[in-house]
Amino acid sequence: MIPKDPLQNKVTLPETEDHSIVIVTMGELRHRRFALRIQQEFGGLVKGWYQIEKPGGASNLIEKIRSRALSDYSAADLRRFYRDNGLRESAKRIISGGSEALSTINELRNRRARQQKAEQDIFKKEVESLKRYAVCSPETVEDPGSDAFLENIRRIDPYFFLSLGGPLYGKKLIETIRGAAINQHAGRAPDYRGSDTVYWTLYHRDLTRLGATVHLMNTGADAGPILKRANPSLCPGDTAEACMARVVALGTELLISCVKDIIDNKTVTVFQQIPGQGMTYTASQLDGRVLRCVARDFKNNWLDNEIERLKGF
Amino acid sequence: MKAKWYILLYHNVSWEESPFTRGLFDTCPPDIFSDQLEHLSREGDFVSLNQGLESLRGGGPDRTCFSIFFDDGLADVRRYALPVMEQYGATGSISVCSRFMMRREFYWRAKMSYLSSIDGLRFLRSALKPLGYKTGMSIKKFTLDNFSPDLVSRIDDVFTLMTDERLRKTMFGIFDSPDSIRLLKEKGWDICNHTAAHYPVGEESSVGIFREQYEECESAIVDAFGQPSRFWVLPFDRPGRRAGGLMEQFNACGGDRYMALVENQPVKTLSRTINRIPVPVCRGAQLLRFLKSL
Repeated sequence: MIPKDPLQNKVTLPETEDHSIVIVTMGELRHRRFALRIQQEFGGLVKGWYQIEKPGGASNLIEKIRSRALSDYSAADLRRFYRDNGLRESAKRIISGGSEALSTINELRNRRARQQKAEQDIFKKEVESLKRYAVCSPETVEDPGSDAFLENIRRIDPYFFLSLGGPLYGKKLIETIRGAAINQHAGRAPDYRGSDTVYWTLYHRDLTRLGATVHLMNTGADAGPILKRANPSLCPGDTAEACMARVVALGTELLISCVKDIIDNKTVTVFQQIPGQGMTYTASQLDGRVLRCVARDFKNNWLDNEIERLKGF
Repeated sequence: MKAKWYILLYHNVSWEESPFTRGLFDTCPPDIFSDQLEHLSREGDFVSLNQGLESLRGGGPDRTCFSIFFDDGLADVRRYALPVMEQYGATGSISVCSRFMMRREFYWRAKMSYLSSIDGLRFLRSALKPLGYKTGMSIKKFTLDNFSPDLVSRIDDVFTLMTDERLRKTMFGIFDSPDSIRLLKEKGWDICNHTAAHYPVGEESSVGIFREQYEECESAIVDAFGQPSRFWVLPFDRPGRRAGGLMEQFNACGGDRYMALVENQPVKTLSRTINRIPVPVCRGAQLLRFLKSL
């Protein structure tokens, strides 16, 4: 029988006097809050803050359209479809496929705008007041998998490597860290790992598993041993994007408490993730259909009703 | 808004909703709490409970004033509400249950809330059947309506069966310890008496242990903070279910203290009781509309 909860064991990290920290984030407001909260809590221990630059603008949009169109409708598939169904059906399929791809792109673009608005509403004031605690400015990184980045990290030789929203890191980089490489994941691992997991949780109407996870890094996506996991407090009327922002804020607080625990006590309890348990989602899986389903549920007050339902027993 | 004294009742302010509290009350996210305080600060002044009482003694407040009250002594109040309140120059009041604060007994309702998050209620339903529970009844309502020491012990048995020792050791962390509450006291907060174990001592089922529950908590407050409390907070204040001799009990042992109750009313006149208004989790503008409607 597979146990319901992850197996727990103890991990002992090396003793040290130097608990220096390197932070790696993306560039959205939630990431800036993450970096500034850590600087507020740990001040001078923070030796570097790297911000990963995501390719954006028109070239990124074209690439998204191309990759989605190709993933759903490859040329070979279409040739086969034309042979079996004729010109009229093939034309219909191309038009509907193109329209679905464009709609997905549109949904993703709108979602980004809504996400930014939700983060402004929730974090803007706090981030303004946190700026006074900044001990370093973000340094832009184009490729966190590069040797140059690895070299930079080796030079700083941090005890903690704290990441939010970055890519997967290689074994070399993780092994370079003297103490703990910790990732904050906006989802409840092992049930929801990978990209856009808040949306996948909402898509599955799985509010009890809407959560944040803080885990030690390994080379898998959000697959390392779990340090802490919790559910966010929500406000009736929250949008899906507000839920996402609250999950991230919660994760940041969990990560800060994990770092404090490790500084105070080098032996910590971790919960192993069992391979094969839960699901890992990739960015390309989130399409317009999923986003439209989530939007429809929120429009129909699903969140408010579900919050109320969970509280009543 | 009219020049009245509104005491606003919260339980917790946190980014996290713990499974121990989800079934008990709403946790207010810090950004929402901050938005509420910003709106309130535009409408009136923040005052301590003593300042509010003082204004009533002088015939009532000159302008709208608000006091912020937190029940149950949860640790996240200090972590998340305190910094926001300091930004607005507000000092608050917090009520504590001595057995939770001293890590002697865990909140019986919080155990039920946790059981509801892990499919433990089916075992609890079975355990409650000998006490008269029938399928389809609300467990929350049944346990409050039929409260007894036996009922608490049955909840504890199911909780122990469904949880491991590690969880039972760490769960007290949701409540603040005396050392941490002392920090609030040093910042001018009122520390109020919420009984030893949050049993429904205001209702017929438990009014017999009213005195003993408050005195046990009072003694812990004096030991921990060197000063007695000025406010006794009634657990589960359900106005329609208050025991007949409740105020007599309070008058007999409460001394010159005030009893804090729950009612959607501002405090209008000076008496032995003060009303606290439960605050919904909503944006500040919506909260003001709600308060204006009272």
